[in-house]
Amino acid sequence: MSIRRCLKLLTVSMSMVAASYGGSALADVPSYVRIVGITYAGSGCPAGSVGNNVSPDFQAFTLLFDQYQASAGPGVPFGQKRKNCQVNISMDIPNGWSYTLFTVDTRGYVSLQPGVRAMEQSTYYFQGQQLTGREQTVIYGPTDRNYQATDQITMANQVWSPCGVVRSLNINTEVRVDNSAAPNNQGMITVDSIDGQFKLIYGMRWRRCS
Amino acid sequence: MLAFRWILAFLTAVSLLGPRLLADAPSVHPSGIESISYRGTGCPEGSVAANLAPDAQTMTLIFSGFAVDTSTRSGRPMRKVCAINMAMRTEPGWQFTLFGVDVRGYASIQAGAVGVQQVMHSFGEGSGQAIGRQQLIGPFDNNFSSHSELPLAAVEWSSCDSGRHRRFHLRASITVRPRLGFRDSDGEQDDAGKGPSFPYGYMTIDSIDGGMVQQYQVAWRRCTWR
Repeated sequence: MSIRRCLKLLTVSMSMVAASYGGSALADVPSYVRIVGITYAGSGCPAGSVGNNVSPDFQAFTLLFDQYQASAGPGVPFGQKRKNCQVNISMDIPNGWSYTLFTVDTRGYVSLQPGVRAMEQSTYYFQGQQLTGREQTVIYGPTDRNYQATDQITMANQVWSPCGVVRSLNINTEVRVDNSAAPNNQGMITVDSIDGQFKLIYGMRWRRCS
Repeated sequence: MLAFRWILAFLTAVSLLGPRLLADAPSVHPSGIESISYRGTGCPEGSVAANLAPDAQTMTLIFSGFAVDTSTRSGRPMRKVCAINMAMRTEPGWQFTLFGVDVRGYASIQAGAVGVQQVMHSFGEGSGQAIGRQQLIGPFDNNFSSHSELPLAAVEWSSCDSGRHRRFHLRASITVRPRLGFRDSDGEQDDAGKGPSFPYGYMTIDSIDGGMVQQYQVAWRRCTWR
């Protein structure tokens, strides 16, 4: 958690540095970036269970879910403990640029009895590449509330889009419930929506292909 | 990573020297994945999202129902399979030699159970050979991923004969079962008294990425005509 806070601080200070330079002439960012297509599948988002929307500026998308819910407890099938939805995002970026910047906000509801815990996690990789980045949030019972988790694809994870080729970005979101420490107790976590967004203000997240 | 960047830089430099030096590396990919189809218990129609890169060199398949949960069968073995069939476009005189596959998923396996993920490949209708296999022994509860490549030495070279459209098959499977030696009599009576129950496992493949490995200069070679 503290690492993430450090990263956020770092990000903020970077953007302040970038801002202090002012003028777009100095900002070393590509002239455009667009989301050109989204596909998804997963145990939490079978076909027909998702509403999706790409923003008019093609920089952000929203997915709304009907059936994205993991649960564990007495009598609940074992496989219900984990649900996922992998989103494949096709990007249009200018030649000669590489990016590693995406923010994913996951919102949902979590209800856990004592001793039960839930986890929300995003892993991501560029199509055809091995390197995988990861962000996760763990929630401990007892609790009963809405939650929001923000996962940022950061420079620290060293996952950069490959140079010279167009490769889509894969973001695999998942939720799990674990009641192994309290097998007679139950818990559930839902994902109601996912918002994904490029944030061009952080110019540092772009680099030129050399 | 750094080495790869140097290779890229080197290739860029080479490409500036003119076409003669390029004789053994296609400047435009002479081949690619032209189309993908799939069928099997792990990938019924409507349960898969597919994405093919614009240069046709790599693809992603995402699955909604490539999962087995043996708790629904009192822990008895379960298996699902997805056969992926790719039509490869090949230009006369070139063939591809190196193909990489990344399988990503999740498994939760109780002690006493085993999960196995395997990828086979073949160029024809034959049974093919395994190019990747991962065995997860319970207790295990985590994401898994595996990268496998068809090694140059072992690969059946894609045919030089003629075919502009070659077929390349991948066959991915997941199996969860009690560990070997775990007999029915070892199982405990389950609550409903329906018979013995074995340790459970849940295993899923979330996605499969496959494509020509990025170092194109080794993924392709010229056919030598006799």
